[in-house]
Amino acid sequence: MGRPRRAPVRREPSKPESDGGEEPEPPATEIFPDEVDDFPEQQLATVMGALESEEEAESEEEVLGLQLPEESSDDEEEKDEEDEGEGDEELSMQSDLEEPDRGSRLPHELSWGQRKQLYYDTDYGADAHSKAKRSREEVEAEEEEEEQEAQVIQKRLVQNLGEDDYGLDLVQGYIAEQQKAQGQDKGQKIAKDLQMLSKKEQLKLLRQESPELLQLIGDFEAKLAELKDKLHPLIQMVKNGIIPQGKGSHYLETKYHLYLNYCANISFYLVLKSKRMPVHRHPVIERLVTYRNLINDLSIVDQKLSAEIELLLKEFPSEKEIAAGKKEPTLLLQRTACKTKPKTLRETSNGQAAAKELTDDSDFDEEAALKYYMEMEEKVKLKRKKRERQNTIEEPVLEEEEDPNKKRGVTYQMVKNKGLAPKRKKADRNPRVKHREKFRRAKIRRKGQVREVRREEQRYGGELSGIRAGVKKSRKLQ
Amino acid sequence: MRPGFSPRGGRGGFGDRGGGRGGFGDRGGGRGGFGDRGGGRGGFRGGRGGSFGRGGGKKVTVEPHRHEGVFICRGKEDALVTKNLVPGESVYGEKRIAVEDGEAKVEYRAWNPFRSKLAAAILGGIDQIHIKPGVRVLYLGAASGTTVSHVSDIVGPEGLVYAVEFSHRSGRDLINVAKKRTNIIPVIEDARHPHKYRMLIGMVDVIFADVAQPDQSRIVALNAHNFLKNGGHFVISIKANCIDSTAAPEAVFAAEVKKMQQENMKPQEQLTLEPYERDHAVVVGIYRPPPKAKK
Repeated sequence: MGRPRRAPVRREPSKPESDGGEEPEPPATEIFPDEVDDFPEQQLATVMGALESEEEAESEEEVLGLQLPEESSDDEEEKDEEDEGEGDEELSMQSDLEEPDRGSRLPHELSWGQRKQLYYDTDYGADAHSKAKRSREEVEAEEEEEEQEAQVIQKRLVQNLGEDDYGLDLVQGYIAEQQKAQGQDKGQKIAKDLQMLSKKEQLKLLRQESPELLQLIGDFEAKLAELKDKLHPLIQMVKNGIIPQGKGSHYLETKYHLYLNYCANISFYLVLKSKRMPVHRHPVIERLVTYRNLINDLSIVDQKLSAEIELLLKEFPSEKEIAAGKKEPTLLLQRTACKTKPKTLRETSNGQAAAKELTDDSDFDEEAALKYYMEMEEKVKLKRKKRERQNTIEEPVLEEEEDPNKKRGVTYQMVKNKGLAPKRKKADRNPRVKHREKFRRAKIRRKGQVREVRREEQRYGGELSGIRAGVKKSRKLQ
Repeated sequence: MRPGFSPRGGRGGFGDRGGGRGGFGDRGGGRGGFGDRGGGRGGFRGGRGGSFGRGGGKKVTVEPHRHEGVFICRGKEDALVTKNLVPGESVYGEKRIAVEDGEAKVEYRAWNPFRSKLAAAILGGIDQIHIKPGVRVLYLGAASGTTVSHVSDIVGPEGLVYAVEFSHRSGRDLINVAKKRTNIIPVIEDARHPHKYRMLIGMVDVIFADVAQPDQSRIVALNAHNFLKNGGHFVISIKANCIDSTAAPEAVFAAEVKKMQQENMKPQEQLTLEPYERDHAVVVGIYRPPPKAKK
């Protein structure tokens, strides 16, 4: 109900809006270009003036008359019954909204009826029926105004919508958060993982990544220890002259250098690893493999000499100061003695240990190393085979030549002992068979000479093969 | 074989004649009279004319053979035929072929080489049979008259066939054939005694002998001396088994040829009858050939 009544009032502010284009706050515009529009405005102003006066009175009354009887209010209501519907609302709304500009004298556009029912049954059709008497233009104008009003409301709503209202910021925030989290994850992931994982798992991972690493580390430690404990003192001995120059010293030096080189290579490898450089295909691997093979080759000599070396080490715990002259002869003597006894004793254990080492090495060695090793082995085997073949070829000749006393085997010719008998056909062995064969052949030959006799099995109907009248086959006599 | 051996000797040929000859059971014996031509061969197959399958719907042509009076019927299978002297009659149940030669209808009779040595010789490619239309033929060992009928066809109405058969049983059939064919003169006599039937037979141009006896060449020679004209021809069918069953067929044939030569008969050609007969040979020759100087 309130709507239609307000319609003329509302028309005014909407107009400028449409003219002026997009104005954020339609009620804020105070421009009233048309005089026509002024008229209702003025009317409204008068009404509003009256209302305001009342308002003041009311507010006073209210302040004053909390205990006041209702009469006064009743009176007031009676007084402006006509304006009641609009006035009450207007007032309340304005007070609520605290609109800054009241100069327009318009009810705030938000000050619409709050009850839903107000807005029902306001269709154009219904309007048209009820107010058929109204002129068409009026109706149209009303409709247009309504449309504009709707637009305004829509616009206002849209303006009220912030970025927050769309929920976009929420999503974006979420994404950002996630990205952040991911970034953190990425950064942290490995570290976290490594830290979080138990030692076992860490080892496992490491083994997966580079199976040779652990083995190499172990080797590295072992070799360094050996260097430090055994080889270095021995080398010192050589330098001091305790160990005489010769094969032994040569062996020691080679081993010493070999181990040093090996360790240096391993350390380089470790450096690579620590820098996270890809070690696959790196030449250092090959180098390591070759060194390892060389060390393995040396291990045979190690086994042989291990007893002596230990003896040496025992005898010269700190040989720097001790003079060489005394102990050399004993050592030499012992060497000769040792060669028989301790070898046999320790060879077994050492051999086993060495074998173990070897197997371990092969197990844990890198793939490339294995491949290389296998290839080399195959080559060596091939060479050996070739040699063996050559030997085998040569051997029997030698044997035959070498064994003139041995009895010769019997040959087929000897067993049969056929003498000088000529070769005969198989059929000739048996006369019956020979004749049979002869007869068979003769029969075949005769087929071409004499036609086979046939009997008149069916009634004779003629010659199937035809008759040639000119043929003369008779044998002329004389 | 054995020239000096008397035919009345142990061979049994003539000794049998008095007793067993008359009966039926003698036919398979093979050593009997002249007329008996060995096992399984004889027998008149009845007078059944029978519809001749050859002439049925199929188109056949008849053309003359190299030998005069003999024809070849060309169809699905080629057959040796002779012009039937008595149209509409089959002698031994053989097929007949009727051919329309212009207006006249000519009938031919098939000649079975399995039953006739002359036919077998012709099919085998003998050079000369000397039997042709208009000649007189002395046929020794005519048997039932199967081949005789064909010879009578060949010689035609102008020719004559003296058919000598000793077996009465076979002779009966032969006489029946001769009743229909006017150019056949049946003689039921032993061919070894030409003087017995010398009154019946005149001079002949050709002697055909199919007697299958051990003294075959002598029999032929006797008849030739009596009836064959000088320069006349003889056609002798020799069954090696009947002359000497132990010797090789070729040897038998050669011996027979030699015997003929001794009898003023000059064999000119020889032909074995495979595949129609086993160990059979046909020898064709000339009797008392004119001297070469004559030329």
